[in-house]
Amino acid sequence: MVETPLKRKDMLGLRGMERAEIQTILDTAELMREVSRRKVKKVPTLRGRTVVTLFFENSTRTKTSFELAAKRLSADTLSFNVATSSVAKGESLMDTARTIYAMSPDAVVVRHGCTGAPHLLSRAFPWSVLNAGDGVNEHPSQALLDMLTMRDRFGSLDGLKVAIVGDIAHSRVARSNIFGLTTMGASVMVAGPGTMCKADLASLPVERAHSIDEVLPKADVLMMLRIQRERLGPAVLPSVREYATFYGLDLERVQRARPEVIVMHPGPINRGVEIAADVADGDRSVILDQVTNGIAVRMALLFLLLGRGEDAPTA
Amino acid sequence: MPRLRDVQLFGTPGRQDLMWGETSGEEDVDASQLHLIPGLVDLCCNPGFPGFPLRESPRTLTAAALAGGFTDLLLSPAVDPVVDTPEQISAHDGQTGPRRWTAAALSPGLQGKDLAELGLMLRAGAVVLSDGAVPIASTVVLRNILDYAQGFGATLLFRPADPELDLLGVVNESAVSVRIGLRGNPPATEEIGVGRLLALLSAMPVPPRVHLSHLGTAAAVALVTQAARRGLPVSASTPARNLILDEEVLDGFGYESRYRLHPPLRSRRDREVLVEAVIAGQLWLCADHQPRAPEEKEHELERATPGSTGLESAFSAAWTALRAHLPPDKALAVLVQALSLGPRQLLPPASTGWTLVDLETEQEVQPATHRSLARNDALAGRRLFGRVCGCWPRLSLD
Repeated sequence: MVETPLKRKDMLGLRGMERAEIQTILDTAELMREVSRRKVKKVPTLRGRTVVTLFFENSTRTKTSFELAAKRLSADTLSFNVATSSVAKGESLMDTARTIYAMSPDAVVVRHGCTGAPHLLSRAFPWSVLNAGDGVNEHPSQALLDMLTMRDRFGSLDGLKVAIVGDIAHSRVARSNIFGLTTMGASVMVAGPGTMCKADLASLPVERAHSIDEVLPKADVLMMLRIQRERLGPAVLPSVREYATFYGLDLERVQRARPEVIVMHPGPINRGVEIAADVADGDRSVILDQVTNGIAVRMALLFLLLGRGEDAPTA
Repeated sequence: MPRLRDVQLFGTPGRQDLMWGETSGEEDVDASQLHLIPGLVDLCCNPGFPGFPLRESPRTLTAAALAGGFTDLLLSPAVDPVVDTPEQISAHDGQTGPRRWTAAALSPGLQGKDLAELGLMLRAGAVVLSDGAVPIASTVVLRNILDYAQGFGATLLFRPADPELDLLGVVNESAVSVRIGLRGNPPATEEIGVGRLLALLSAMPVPPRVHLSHLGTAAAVALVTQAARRGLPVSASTPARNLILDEEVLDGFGYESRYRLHPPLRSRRDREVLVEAVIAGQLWLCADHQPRAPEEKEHELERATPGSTGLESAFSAAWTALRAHLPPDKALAVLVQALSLGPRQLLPPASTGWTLVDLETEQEVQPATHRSLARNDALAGRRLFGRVCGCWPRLSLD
């Protein structure tokens, strides 16, 4: 049985989370990963519990990953389709939440375009809220799966040098990684165009580099971020071609990186923009490992938040 | 006739008994712990009516103003329909509540594209011209407004902001916004807005009287102070809550929509400069009463409608901030100047009315007990000193 030191009913973000808590999540995720390797990929841990996914923004991997994680723990899942719901008729978040809460779910996995939306849901009802991305704030489960992937490769996060390249200002993935990685003893460098990697990032525990070339020889991990065209305002980026030239990761740049470097990307990928196709599919890439670890991390989160007192699946 | 016994009347030495005309029928009041000060003035009061019945009604606005000690309200034109024609302007002034003065729109629909009938609206009774909290986007239109209004001797009220930067973000752009992951609005928004306006005014041989509302940054205060010293007819004010709250209230995990204000709360240093400027007589205060219905605030912070009520907490906010820096008699004099006598200069001459206050009581701001229909006071939960005990808009002590 895993003793859960999670001092919370929700997973809202990695900012302020303690090292021991992150450690527990990652350790639990390793156990959960074993379940996914079995022939029968299911354990009864969360039988009778209900998990709702409530996604106000598009998602492929996060949503399916959470749903699969819940199913592998035998929870009942309900996918709330915002596009065909009353939300499309203008219903407020709180009214939507009241309706869903009346159906007695145990946990809600929420993705929302506004920072703090999961926090609002957490305060309003006694269910467990798992943040699957809020505004430009945090995407904790993505950062945890990234950290698990790095730990798999390097054995520890302590002392690791991680470079995050791209649109840092609009990236909740970057922010959660910055909070989580630095708590775990890694150091984080960030690089990107001035409009996406602003001077005010100095208030975060990161080293701001001026170009991708500056971080290449230093980094153990190169995390390339997607250019989020949907979040960019006007006059942020002159062209995709220019971005690819100055900030894209191609084979030539990979060859200038450390030999043991790994390349990560939270997906979905803009091939040929932030990362060249042969790099994304190359031997330095751990992008598919990230996807696999996503299910394990989300199983761990659901287990630790909902399955308190239950036995963890054993290897 | 009942008496107010042993009261300290602002501006006079010693304590005295006062005949209490408007309260005839009541008993004598022991006012030995109380002060009678000139009635408070809110230059930035959005009444919420017509058009927003869930925000405020004439009855609740009156009750809130009297509960907060306000004898005079300058009502924003930003209601529905916008007050932008002379036909909409009528004598609001009833016999019992606070005096309601009209600020009429500068541009039809607050669109900033054309001139409203400024002369006719002034003739109909508007006392100030303003597009409320909406900045005039076009500098050409702004310049035309200044030139045109000057010919009528009008007083103009602007919230200064660069119109494009003004659209960015929901909290102050700073280390705090980065830490909590909310989109920031740069402090330069306000500085640019002030600079643009002052540059236009400086170029006019006879500039009109201009008041700048909602100042929140040290840089903007400095610009206005320098301009006033150069002789430009400008004054400025900030919401009283800005002396108590700054962006640090957001620095946590609350993301509480009551702190969704526009312009946003700025830095601690900005707040300290605002307090200094009020003490120095460079900055007045307002209640910035912006009532919102519960369904406008019960949202994610980014989606919540900006604004906070203010009538029922402005006095306590101002007093709490000032008493921390000044001895009581000086602090009260500054408060009266900033929240009554100063703002009153923008209104037509009228008797002040009086407000009775208790300076010692400390109590928590509890919107549930407020007389306003709205409950969205950003100061909710704060313990503040000072309490309004009575308010008589038409009481004459002469």
